Amino acid sequence: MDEGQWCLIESDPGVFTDLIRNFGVTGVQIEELYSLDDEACSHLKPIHGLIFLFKWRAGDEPMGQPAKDTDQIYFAQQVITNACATQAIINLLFNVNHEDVKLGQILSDFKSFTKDFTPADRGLVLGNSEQIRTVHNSYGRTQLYEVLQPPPTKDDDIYHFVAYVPIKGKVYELDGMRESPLEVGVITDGQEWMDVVRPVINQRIAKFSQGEIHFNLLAMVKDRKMKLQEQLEILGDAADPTEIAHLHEELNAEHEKDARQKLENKRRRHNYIPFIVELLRVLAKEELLVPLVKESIEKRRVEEIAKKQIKTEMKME
Amino acid sequence: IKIPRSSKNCDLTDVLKGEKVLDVVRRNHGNFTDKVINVEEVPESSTTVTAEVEGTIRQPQFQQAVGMFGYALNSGQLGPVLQQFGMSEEVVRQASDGDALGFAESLTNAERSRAKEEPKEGGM
Repeated sequence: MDEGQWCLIESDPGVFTDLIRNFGVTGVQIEELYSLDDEACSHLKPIHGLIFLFKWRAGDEPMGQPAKDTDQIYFAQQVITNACATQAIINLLFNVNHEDVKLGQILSDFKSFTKDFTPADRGLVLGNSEQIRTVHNSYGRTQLYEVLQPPPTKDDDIYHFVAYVPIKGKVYELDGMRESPLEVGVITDGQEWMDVVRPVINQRIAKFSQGEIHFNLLAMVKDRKMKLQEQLEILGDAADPTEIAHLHEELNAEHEKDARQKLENKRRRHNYIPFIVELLRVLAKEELLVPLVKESIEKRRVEEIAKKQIKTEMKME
Repeated sequence: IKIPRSSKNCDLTDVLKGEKVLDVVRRNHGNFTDKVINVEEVPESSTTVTAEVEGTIRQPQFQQAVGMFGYALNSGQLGPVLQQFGMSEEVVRQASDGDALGFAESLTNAERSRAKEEPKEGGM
């Protein structure tokens, strides 16, 4: 990978959580949301912001209006390709003002350094930040041999991440591809910010599903283990034992999830080529490789014929 | 216009999956223990080296690597990689032709003659 390049990052909650922890951020983690319904995400509260990932299309109609009070929003424009995961995280995190959330050295330095910069200049500085890039790039898929990269297909999916975040009574969409933040709603009295953002995202999703476009939704939430431990402390020993047992169960589940995500992240970075070569060798040694390869070639041939037949049938109709 | 696929091409992700392959991995377990992630570096996880070895061919990360490897094989770009792993000239030549079947046959021949040369493998 060329110096100065940013690699694509898989939009997976385990990857994102690990990424922000390696930036040095504490007090938050990333969870995937499958629904925006209150029942589905109430256990994750407080939700500090959302990262919405979707397939990018040119000329997407903005949903909202350019923000007026931009001086209270931290917004960096996207100057470099492929950095959008880190970009969205930074745009989101730098607008979170919560006692739990600590940015850590790397991001605190970056934030204070770029405080008075324009959104475009912030994007440029981000693109040139070696520290941030190094952490970001450690999550890319291992590219061991340049030759092993298949060429990009014509509509090689351009995925894009945007952040939704509440700032001082309003909800904003921070999309590094736009000129400025968009104001998407006002949080009225007695309303939670999620109530404001829910219809906005649901409408967006509805638009996508017609065209079968992939998307997913990640939430930046309070560190789950931190939250559960605090709940246990508040309850004290006098509390209902079943409730305490339940919280311990949830805490264990979080620890297990952590371990699972760590394993997966290790696998993402692992070089599997020695395993593949050895597997081919032992398959050859046991006289299984040739029959398996023949089987695959035959299967492909049959599939090709079937495809051609379907095409001819369609033409005839 | 689509370039017609060579009839010699195969889908390696198809080849390196399924029960037969898993049995081979199990039988030759020792060959793979140093080729998977080090599970001990994640002490909180309850997984073992054995489980990792046997689970590898089902992992999406492995399958993705196989996809790249297979692409390189079919497009005749795998030669230099195989050379690094000490494979014979004939194996490298077939792979450089993008001939998956020829590659499989020559690798099988190479392994056969290797087995003959080392009849007491593991005996000493």
